[in-house]
Amino acid sequence: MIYLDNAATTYPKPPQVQNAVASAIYRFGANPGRGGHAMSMATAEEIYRTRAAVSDFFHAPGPECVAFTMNCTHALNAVLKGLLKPGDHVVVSCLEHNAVMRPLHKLEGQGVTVTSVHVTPGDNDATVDAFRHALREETRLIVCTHVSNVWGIRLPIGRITAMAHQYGIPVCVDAAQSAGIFPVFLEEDGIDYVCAAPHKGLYGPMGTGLLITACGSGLDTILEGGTGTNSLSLSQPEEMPERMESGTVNVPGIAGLRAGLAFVREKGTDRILRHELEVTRAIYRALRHLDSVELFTGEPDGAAFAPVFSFRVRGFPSEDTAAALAQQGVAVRAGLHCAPAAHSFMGTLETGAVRVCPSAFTSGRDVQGFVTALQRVLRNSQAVHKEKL
Amino acid sequence: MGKPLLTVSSITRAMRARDLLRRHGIEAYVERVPHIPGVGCGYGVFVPSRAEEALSLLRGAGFAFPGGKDGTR
Repeated sequence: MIYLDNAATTYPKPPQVQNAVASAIYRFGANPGRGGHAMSMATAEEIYRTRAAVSDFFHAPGPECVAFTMNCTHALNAVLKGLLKPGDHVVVSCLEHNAVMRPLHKLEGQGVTVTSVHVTPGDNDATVDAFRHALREETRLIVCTHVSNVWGIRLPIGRITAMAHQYGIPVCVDAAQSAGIFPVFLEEDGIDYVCAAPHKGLYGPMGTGLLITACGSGLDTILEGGTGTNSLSLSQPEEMPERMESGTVNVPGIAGLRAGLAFVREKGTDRILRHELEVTRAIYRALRHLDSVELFTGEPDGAAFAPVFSFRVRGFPSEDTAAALAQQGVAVRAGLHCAPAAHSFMGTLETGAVRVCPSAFTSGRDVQGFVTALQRVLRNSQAVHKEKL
Repeated sequence: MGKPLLTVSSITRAMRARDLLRRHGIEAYVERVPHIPGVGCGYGVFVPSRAEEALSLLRGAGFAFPGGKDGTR
């Protein structure tokens, strides 16, 4: 299989991640932060080591700023629903995933208002200005994706955050597509809330999510329950990370995340980015020469565009393209990618598009195999088209 | 003060406190505290020696001690 669906979940996972998950099931089989016996304490140590590693990776003030969630969507819900109240206004980019737009849609029903801002790819001045002009007296939060999961468009989060803080407005960054290839630093970028998906560019297992913030105590909770401490009180603890972590966390997943982070650190985010850009550019350039393929964005360069893009085959539904590629052993994702806003922005809402995203493991042979498979699909589709005529 | 078990609000805080103390050369261990009066169960940092210094360091770093600052073992 040629796997180019890494924007959804990276595959394969590094052997050390697979080993860490398997080992955790055996070694860390007790609840962390609950009991006082040896295995419970050993498990808690593993969770803490991962918190510290995440904190270090994202340049957070400390391990207590790292809360483990079910996934990135859960983390985003925790911020949006924990912060926004009726009468509040929130500003988002026009490229947001439904992980942001669906909770906001629900909150709109409760009196929250939302402004979607037009992003100008490659023109950060225009993008930051657009965010500035959308602010109102009652704006309570800016939520913005770091990288579009469909088009790879990269947003200037550091500049958006600096601008927002001039007005005293916090910023929540959806780093699902960027963590692991671009720097996402709480302290340097001044980001108030980072939500990340470890199963993507951090090479962790699925079923893990990250909410990284120094402001977690100020969030209302969307889930309450046992935290292993202060059990006499029926009120949820105020302090991070336990405030955001009711119930048993995904210990094997979190252990795998630590191994994934170590893999990324060892390889280096710069090196991973360079490799993925090289691979993505090779695919992009090959597709640019195919007449029936429509490309919508500039060549992935790492500055304005991350190493992920989507294309369409003229006159051929994107889902059919992906299905035909799957028959050739190529895994890509077609459709709207849970981001109708991003497709609306590019005019592909009706047809969807086919997304291509490599990982650290994608090889030149994969590139050639993908291009060959697509050429075959195009030839077959043209033959079918002629037959119909 | 004898050999204090400094009770903190969570196991994460306890481990953070332990690491901070160890960085300052103070021996420290995380322990389960089965019952903190008025609070319930929790975790603490056992400091066999240099307890006053440890307390001062942790207070300086913003740590709070909900179960009392110097519950003894």
